[in-house]
Amino acid sequence: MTRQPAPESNLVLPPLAEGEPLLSVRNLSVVYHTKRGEVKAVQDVSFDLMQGEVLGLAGESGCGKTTVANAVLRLLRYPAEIAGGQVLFHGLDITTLSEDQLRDFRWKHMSIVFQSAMNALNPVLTVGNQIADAILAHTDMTKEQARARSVELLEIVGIDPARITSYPHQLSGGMRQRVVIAVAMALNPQLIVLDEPTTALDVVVQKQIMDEIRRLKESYNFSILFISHDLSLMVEFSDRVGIMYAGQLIEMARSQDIFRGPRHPYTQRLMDSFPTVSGPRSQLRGIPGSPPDLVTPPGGCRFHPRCDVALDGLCQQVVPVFTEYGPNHWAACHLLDAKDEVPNG
Amino acid sequence: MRFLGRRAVFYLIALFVAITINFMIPRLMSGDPVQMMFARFQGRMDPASVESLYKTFGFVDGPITEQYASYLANLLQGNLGTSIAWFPAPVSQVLGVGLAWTIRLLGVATLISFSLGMFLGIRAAWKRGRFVDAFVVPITGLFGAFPYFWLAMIMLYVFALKLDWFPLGHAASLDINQDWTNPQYVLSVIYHMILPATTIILTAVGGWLLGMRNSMINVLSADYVALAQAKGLSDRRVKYAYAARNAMLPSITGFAMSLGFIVGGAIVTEVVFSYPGIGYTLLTAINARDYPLMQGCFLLITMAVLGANFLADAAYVVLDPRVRS
Repeated sequence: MTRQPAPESNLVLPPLAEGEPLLSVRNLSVVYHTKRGEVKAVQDVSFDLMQGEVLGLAGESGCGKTTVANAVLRLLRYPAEIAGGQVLFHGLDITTLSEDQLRDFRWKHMSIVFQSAMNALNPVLTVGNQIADAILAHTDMTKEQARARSVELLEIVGIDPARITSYPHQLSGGMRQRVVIAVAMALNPQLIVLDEPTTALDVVVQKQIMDEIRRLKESYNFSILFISHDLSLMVEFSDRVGIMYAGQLIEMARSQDIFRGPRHPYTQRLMDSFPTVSGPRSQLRGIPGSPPDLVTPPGGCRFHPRCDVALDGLCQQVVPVFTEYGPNHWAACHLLDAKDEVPNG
Repeated sequence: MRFLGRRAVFYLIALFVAITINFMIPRLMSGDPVQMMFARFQGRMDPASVESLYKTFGFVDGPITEQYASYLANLLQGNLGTSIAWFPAPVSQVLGVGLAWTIRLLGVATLISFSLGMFLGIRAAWKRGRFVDAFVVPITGLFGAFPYFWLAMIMLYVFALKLDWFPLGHAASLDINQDWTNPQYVLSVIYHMILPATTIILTAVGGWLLGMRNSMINVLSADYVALAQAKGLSDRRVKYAYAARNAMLPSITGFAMSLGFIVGGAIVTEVVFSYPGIGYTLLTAINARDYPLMQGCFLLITMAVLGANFLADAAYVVLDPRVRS
């Protein structure tokens, strides 16, 4: 009835070649099976994440960024399904792993911090047990050793180790998120996916947590795939940023380039809808309309129905190609082909 | 602990109120057993015998406060009066016998139906749409929807009368030595228990199952279950320590409450299967206008329900750390 704990599947990762990305997502597509038809939540998304890099994925709610995060760890469950593409980690295609291999692979090499710290911890187990659980599932450590390691992890994320016997409800939101980070770091993975790690927290705690993550990243040298809808936080925190719209990656560049010179009209509108802390006061503008229905996404560029600079005929019919328009600056927009100048948002 | 202390105080107050109401009710009703006997003798009973009957049954004269005081004093000594239907047996003795049979029958049946319901509910939610979920859930739901007395009578008719696999009633065979050290007697008791217990389990398991299944499905979509799976924990650990452990909390309350109602006896079960439990005793008491026995039954049921509630609170303290602080 229940499956035995995974036998050591001895998954060996090939070493990274010079310049080879740690994580390489190739033409990833994810669909959700619904009664109305297939929701094409993620379509043809490709990106590379280098070792030691912080890569951000941003976009509106429902643009598929969390789905990408879950697909990368193969956490999707029915009705969601990877419909195509590859997720290469050290060159190993994760989408082909068996359940047992996956169970062994996950957390040891790649882990995730979920959106809501409030709900990511089991209310009836102590935080110590929840950290130790992850360790015991992957190593030969005894319970005492796992406990010692849990204490160490709590110290690392800045929580009083005496809290090891606390239950989640006895901790504040920020402390809970630190515990969740400790759980994610339990096996020293090379890549940690942060899925909106600070959404449920207030701004002050958010800042503390992000600083903490940055510090931990420097000390423990893991890479980060950072998912957020908060563009200003993302630009500050990431080395490179990818912008998603309606399940597709529409722009990707170094974060200062995205910040200073966004190329895609959607990215420009998105930047306009966030206030800047420094810099000149400007009128905040939203983006008229709402994201398209992904059962029947619009043809051509998916953004054209909301785009005020769409080119008649072209944008409705032809899917723009993701092209490099500047050094390390990729975007998918016909306007960028039409004229060299950045369209004025 | 302070939480349990507060609850205990609350239950003691509730008990006191119940005891007082139990005292008041018979006194608000017109007539009493002696007057009924008097009426039955159609005036051929002289006042002296009436007087002696009152004495025999332990009725106390005097103002209501005095009666109340002596009622409380008697209660504290465990003296519930003398049964009229089972005269001269004291009420406490009649109750004791009935209670033992009820607890045996309903205790076993409730425990089995709860455990079975939890186990199947966990299975059904874990493998949604598979065998347990697709077949066992609707079938137990169907049995749960049958009127209980109807199912009991069908069972009795088919398995006892027609097929003659099980006895027609009573708690044990009368022609063997009624002694718990006698293995034959124990076997006979179990044998007599099978049919009524099965009927109770059949009707009760559906509710537990459905409650647990729905609660478990909810919990399975929680982030901490997803995180537990992502952490690489075994299915067994995710299923029990993370999902079922949380999903069971609402059912625990229901279970403890049902333990209280056990003592009330399943009147219908006990009547259909002529099982000598509390329910059967209560029915007899009502038919015989046996007020002391009725009062005793009510008191016992009240105490059981309150005790079970307290047990539910205590179980919560053990199982849910959030209640502790």
